Amino acid sequence: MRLILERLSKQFKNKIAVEQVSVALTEGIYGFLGANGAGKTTLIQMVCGIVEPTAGEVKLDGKNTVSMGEDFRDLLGYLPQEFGYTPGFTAKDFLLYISSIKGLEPKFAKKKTEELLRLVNLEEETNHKIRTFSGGMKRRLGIAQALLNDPKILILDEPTAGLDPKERVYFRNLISGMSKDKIIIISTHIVSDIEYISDRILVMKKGRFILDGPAEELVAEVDGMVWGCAVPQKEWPGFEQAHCIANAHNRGNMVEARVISGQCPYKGAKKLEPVLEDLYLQCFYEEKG
Amino acid sequence: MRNRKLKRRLAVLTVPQYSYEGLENTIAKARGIQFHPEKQRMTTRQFFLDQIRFIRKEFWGMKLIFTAFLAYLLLSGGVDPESWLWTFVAISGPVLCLANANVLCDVYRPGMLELQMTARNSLQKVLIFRLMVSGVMDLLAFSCGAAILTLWKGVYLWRMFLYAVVPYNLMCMGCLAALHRTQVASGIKDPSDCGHHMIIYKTEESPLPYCMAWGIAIVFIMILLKTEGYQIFEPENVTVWVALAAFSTLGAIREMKKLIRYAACKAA
Repeated sequence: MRLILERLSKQFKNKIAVEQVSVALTEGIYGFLGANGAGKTTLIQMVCGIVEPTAGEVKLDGKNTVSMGEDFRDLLGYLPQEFGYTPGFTAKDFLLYISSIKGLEPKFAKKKTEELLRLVNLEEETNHKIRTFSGGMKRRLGIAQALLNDPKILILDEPTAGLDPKERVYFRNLISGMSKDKIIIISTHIVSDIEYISDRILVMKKGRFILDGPAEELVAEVDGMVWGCAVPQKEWPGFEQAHCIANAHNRGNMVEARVISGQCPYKGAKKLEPVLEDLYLQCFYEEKG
Repeated sequence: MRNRKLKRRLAVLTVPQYSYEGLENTIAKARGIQFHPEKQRMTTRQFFLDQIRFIRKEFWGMKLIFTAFLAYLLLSGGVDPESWLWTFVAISGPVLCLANANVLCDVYRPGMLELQMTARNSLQKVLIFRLMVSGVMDLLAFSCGAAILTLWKGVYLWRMFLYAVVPYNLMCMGCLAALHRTQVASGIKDPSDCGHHMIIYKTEESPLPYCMAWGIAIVFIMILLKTEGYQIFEPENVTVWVALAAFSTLGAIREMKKLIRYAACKAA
């Protein structure tokens, strides 16, 4: 299975949200990483067919996904950033309704609903109204609805928003175990969501992919650029302004900092092992500056 | 004996040449089966039947209670043109239609639409189903009323339909237009087949208050005309009613087509 995004662009009046994005995806997990407003959601909405591209097209195994219509949507599982529901719906009603619009046969839908509610730890909430759910529970329900049709292409927009750390880890393991025969796209600005489970990470900035590769390869881009140093409190404001700071911690008169810099930022600074977050910060540092 | 027979048959058996293309075809077909597990999927007819259970109970309840109330009024009231009965008949349209607006608005709930648009059964199918269910239910209610009037009161069948359908269609037209207008037009010309401006369904605005206001306005006008002494249900005004029926029917159809066309366009 090969999903190809071919020169995809989207322009909203004077704003270019996505510009000439081309990428080929096969089975595996892909992390679309970028700051808010980088164009991730617009891009995945174009992949899903919610937003019409201004230019370019999406192809699955050589076929245009728009012309594939219902055949393409049958392979798709999508979790939007936020999803709505009819006020009176319980978790079970909601999943059965989504099963129905996904065209699942009622008996199969019932079985799948029970199975997925168990998978996302909501089996005790089966008959509870969704409006009584916490943010994390709603998110888990959203993940369950995306999996109902056993999608071959699973697209998750900010899937871990509202989940607690334990739920995040559970979610990561869940997704990781599914990647064998699926194309999974996770759009996020939370580095840890995708750092360890993605086969490929695509960093998006101003509507374009600026970096593309496995996490280790991308991290190598900032190899030798991550420093640890202690800066006196009185020098800190100027230092902070001039450098890309990943972490800072006050210790008495000194501030211990993790700095991303091409050169040694301060006397006595030591090189540290880089992580993906360092790369992310370096990519989006100029915007702050 | 059997072995000899088998050996003979094996001797004449020709094994086809290895075909790369054949292998590719097998893989493609196997992939097709895996991609489209049709056994787990519904047909369009099954989908329409399955959707019935997702229409709110309030919808069925409201329709049933209102039809019963209408039947009671028709049985107990007088049928002369000055009677309040005809005003109630006219008011019944907007009231029944308001329940439909609720059912349609559920589809357009913020955040729900994105899920509808990425599902196998298109948004258009869901809309057509809901419009059909609403229309059929209301037609049944009006038919029930018309049957009562004809059988028990000897009134012509068309009168009930005419006086009920005009406000009903006007209400439909207004509600569908409100549903349509509350979506935000992005202003980008669709490059493919839709030939109109695309809609980005991101609005948080509910069309329900507009529908309600429109319904109240129609009901208010009907009551006002009655209390002010206008004999709008007199036989000499039938031409006006027929003209209004034609106008409102065309208007409702136009709005309905627009709504379905937009839905089809987004999910095509």
